[in-house]
Amino acid sequence: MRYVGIALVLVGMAAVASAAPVPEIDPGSGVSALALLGGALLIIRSRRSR
Amino acid sequence: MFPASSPYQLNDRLDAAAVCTDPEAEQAWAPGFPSRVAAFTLLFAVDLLLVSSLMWESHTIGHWLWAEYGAVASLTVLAGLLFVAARGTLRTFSFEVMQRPISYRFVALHVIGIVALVGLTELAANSREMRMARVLGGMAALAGGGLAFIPPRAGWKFFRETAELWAAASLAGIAAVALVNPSQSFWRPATELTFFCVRAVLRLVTTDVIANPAESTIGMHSFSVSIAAPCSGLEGMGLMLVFGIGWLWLFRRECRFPQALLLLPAGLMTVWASNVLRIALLIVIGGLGAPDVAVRGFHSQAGWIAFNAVALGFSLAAGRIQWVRKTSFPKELRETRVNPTAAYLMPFLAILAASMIARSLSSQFEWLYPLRFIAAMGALWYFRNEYRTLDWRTGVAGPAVGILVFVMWIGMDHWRPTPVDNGTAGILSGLVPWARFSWLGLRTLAAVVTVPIAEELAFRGFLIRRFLSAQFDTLHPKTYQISGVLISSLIFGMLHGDRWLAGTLAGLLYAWVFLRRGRIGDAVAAHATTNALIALLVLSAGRFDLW
Repeated sequence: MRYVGIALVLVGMAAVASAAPVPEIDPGSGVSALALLGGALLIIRSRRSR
Repeated sequence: MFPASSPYQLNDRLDAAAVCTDPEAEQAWAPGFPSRVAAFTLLFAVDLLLVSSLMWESHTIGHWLWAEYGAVASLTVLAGLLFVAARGTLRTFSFEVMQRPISYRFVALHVIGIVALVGLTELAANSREMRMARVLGGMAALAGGGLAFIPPRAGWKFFRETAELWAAASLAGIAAVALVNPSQSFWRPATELTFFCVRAVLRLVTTDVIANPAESTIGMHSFSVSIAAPCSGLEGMGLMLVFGIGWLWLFRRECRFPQALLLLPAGLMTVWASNVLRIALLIVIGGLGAPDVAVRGFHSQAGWIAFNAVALGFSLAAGRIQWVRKTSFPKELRETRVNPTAAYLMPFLAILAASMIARSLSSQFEWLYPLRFIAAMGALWYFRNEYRTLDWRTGVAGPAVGILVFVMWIGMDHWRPTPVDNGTAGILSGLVPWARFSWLGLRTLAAVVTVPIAEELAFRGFLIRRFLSAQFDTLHPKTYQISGVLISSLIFGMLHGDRWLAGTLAGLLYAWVFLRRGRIGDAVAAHATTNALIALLVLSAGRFDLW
C-alpha cells in the first residue's frame, strides 16, 4: 500500500506539472525526471541487512 | 475474515493470488485492490491519450485544466484519507474484491462506450442528439471501466462506509478548482522577490548587470531575460510541498516529530533559492556567449535537475539526520547492509542523469550524448560482480522478437506526422571526420550496448518483480504479475515521448521474451537487435528523426 501511495503522489505531481505550462518545470522532461527521482528513492530505501 | 495484520502482509497475500509463474496454470484474473487500481489507472490513461489525441483541439484543452486540477486534488486527497482514516475498511474491501474476477463483460461495455464516444465525434455532427449520444457513450465507458474492476455490491458497501471521506475529497477538489485563479495573485509579489534576488546573485559574480524592475527584464549587456510570473518559483515550491508531506506521512514511523516538520520549510526555501540560482545561471550562460544553450537546453532542464536534487536531499535528510530520525543503525550494521536494487537501477539512472546534464548544456544538437554511454559503462563496470549471477544466455527468440519490434516500430511511425528535419544530419556533415565518426560511433554503441542492458535490467529484471515484493531478488525471474508487466511496460513506453504506444508494445514484447525463460539475456538481445536495426536505418538512410 505504501508504494501505491508513492505512485499516486508521483502521478499527481506529473499531472499537475504537465497541466501547468510554465517554464520553471518543463513538462516535456517530466517523465524522465520523475523516473530518475523515483529510481533514486527506490535505491535509497532498498538497503537491507544481509 | 483474516486476522489483524499489517497492510504489507495483506498485500503479500493479495499479490500472491495474482502471481503467475506458469501462464498455463493461470485462471480467471482476480487480483487484489492495488492491482485493480493499477489496471484501472492504466486503462484510463490509455483512454485519455486516445480521446485527447482524437477529439480535443489544443485550444479546448485549456478549458479542461480546471477539471484536471480538481480531479487530481480529489483523487489525491481521497487516497490519502483512505490510507489515514479507513485503513481497516480498505483492507476488508481489498479482501472482498479479491474474491471476484475482473468482469470482461464490463470491459467490453467500456470499449463500446469509448468507440461510440470517438466514433460519434469523428462523424462531426454537432446536433443536440449527437452531443447527448456522446455523453451517454462517455458515461457507459466510465461505468464499464469502474464496474469491470470493482464488483458493484462490494463497491457500494465500501462507498457507504467511507461516504464522508468521498465528500471531503470532493470538497477538496472544488476548493482546488476555486483556488487555481486566486493563487495566481501570489505570482506578482513572488516574481518581484525573485527578480531582486536574481539581481543580487548576479552582482556577486559580475558588474555587467542590467535590470529593469518595471518590465522585469534582467541580464547582461549581451543577453537578458524577462522574469515572467510563472518563473516566480511557486510551482517548484508546490511540487516540493506535495513531495515533502507525502514523504513524511509515508515514513512517519521513522521520523521524530515535530522536528521532522522543519524539513518542509527548509525544502521549500531550498527549492525557491534553486530557482533564483537557475535564472542567474541561465543569464550567465547566455551572457558568456551561449544564448542557444541557455534558452533551449539549460532553461528546460535546470528546473527538474534542481527539484530532483532538493527532493533527494529531503529524503536523505529525513533518513540520515539523527535529530529528525527516530532510529539509527550502528555503523557496523550499516556496513553489512546490501542494496540489490542499485545494481539493477543504477545504469539506467546514470543514463537519465547524464541525459539531463547533456541536454542542459546543449542547444539543438546534443553534443554531449556520449556522456550517456560513459555514465552507463561506469555503472555497469562498478556492479559487474553482481551481474555474474544473472542468466545472460540467449536463443533465437531474443533477436526474433527484436526484429518484430523493429518492424512494429517503423510501421507505427507511418501514423505519425511527417518527420521534420531535426538538424542532426546538417550539423554532423559540418564536423571534421574524426568528430563525426566519434559522435556517431558512441551514439550507436550506446543504442546497441548500454541502453538495452540498462533498460532491460531496470524494467524487466527489476520492476516486474518489484511490484510483487521488496525482496524482488529472492523471487525467480519468471515470477510476474500481469499488472506489474503492464505498468512497467507503460512507464517504459512513456519514456519514449510521442512514441509512447510503440514503446509500451515493445516493452510488453521484451517482457514476454524475458519471462518465457526468465533470462535477462533474451530481453537484452531483443532490445539490442531492435536498436541495431534502427541504427542501421538511421545511418544508411539518414533517418535521424528515429534517434
